[in-house]
Amino acid sequence: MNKITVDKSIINIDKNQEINTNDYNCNELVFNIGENTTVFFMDINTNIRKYIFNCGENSNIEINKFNSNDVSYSIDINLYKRASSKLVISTVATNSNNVDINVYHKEENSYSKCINNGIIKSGSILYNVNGIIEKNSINSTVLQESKIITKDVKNATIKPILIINETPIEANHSASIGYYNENDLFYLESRGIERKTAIELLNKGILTSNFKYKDKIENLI
Amino acid sequence: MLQINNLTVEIDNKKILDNFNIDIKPNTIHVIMGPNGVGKSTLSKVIMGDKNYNILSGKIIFNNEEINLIPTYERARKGIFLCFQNPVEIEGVSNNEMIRTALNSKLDKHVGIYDFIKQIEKSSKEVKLTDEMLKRGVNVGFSGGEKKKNEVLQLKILKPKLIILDEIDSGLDVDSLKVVGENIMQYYNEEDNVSILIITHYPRILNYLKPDYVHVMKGGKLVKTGDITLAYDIEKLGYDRVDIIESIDKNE
Ligand SMILES: Nc1ncnc2c1ncn2[C@@H]1O[C@H](COP(=O)(O)OP(=O)(O)OP(=O)(O)O)[C@@H](O)[C@H]1O
Ligand SMILES: [Mg+2]
Repeated sequence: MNKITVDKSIINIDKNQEINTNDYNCNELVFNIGENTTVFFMDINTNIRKYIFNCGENSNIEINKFNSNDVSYSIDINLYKRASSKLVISTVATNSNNVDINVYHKEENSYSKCINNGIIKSGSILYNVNGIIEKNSINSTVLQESKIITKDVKNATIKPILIINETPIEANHSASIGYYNENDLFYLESRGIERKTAIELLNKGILTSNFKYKDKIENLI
Repeated sequence: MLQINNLTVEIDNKKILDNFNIDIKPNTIHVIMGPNGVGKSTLSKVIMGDKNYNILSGKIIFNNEEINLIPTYERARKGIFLCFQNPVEIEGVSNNEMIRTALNSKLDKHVGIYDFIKQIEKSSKEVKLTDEMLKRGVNVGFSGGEKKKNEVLQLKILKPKLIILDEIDSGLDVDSLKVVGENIMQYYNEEDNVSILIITHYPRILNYLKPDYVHVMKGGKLVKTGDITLAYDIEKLGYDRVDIIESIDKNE
């Protein structure tokens, strides 16, 4: 396929499918996902700067996004009645990476989960994770987990924000910033695994464990 | 095989090992018993090269080579294996992947996936761990006993020369104790020049692993050495009374 860069692409999806966003060459991608539709998105080292996912009633999306190309981007997810989204982001930083995530629960019984894992080799990572429960989105669930591995904590920032305008709902977030667990490293080394290889193993674990197609990113880490 | 000479070790300015000595010859089984907190696990981790502990003086010699400054992974490759008292759980790295990486590192070559699977299937059956567990993250969701079996599985595959068992028997039910004990004993009998250092509180594992020496550790060093009867005495009398009996024996 010949790629032509356009500024913005709008894609309507009404059939269950898997989409590789690397097929789109643009700055902004908008997906309108129809009712009762299940879509899996894979996104590896793209340069897309802005994503919008509009998730219709009872739709179901999963996004696996991996970047080791130091790109900053934003993702907005709008969830309507009973729509659910799982967003898995893995980042390897050698320069600056700013990631903005906004999940809007617009209607009842919607579900979202964001899992962000970053490894800072050098440079920085910022995860801005906003979960917004709007009025009328009763019985919704918003879950966030973020983790950044870094030697120098001042290069890592996680800002988890939950804005809740309705009850009852379920909300949970966790964030951790730090270096590898020394006990884990000692255990692996005690098996004859060099520290460097041990760190590679741990990196692979952290970055791929929530991915559907682990082999697609393993050699990029 | 392993000689430790006058080893003094501290952590956080607290002396844990104080002029510690032991000499483990090839093809022998040693046992160290001692009250909680005397430094048994410290000893095992210092032998393995844990950098949290500060060696103030003394030498650790493995197969005639001083290893004080050698990194942990090289000690492992030379043939030292520590079965941890509390093995860690590592999410995201599967048991299979870790063990295969370890084996590749140890042999310094790439072991074919087919050979590896054959080997690990056989060994895991012997220690009664399932395929599904090997696919899980390292020790993730394993019960206490399963973690200990996983340690034994790894030693069967990595084939060490000096095996340190830090409370391998704690948390094991009678059947698991038998599996663990018999697998280690079988390894000991089948391989040449293997020695075992058992750290334990109870003599029950010694029904499977017949020791040549039983030592008592106190105050950062070994204070007494005997045979298996010493282990039974400790079980019966406790550490303090074993001391008293000894001094009565001497006075007679
Ligand atoms: N990382 C550490 N920081 C501070 N103190 C430590 C550390 N590791 C061990 N110690 C201390 O060293 C002493 C010896 O601990 P160790 O774990 O070696 O004992 P042990 O003989 O194995 O005991 P147990 O029979 O309970 O397993 C204890 O007082 C312990 O609190
Ligand atoms: Mg201990």
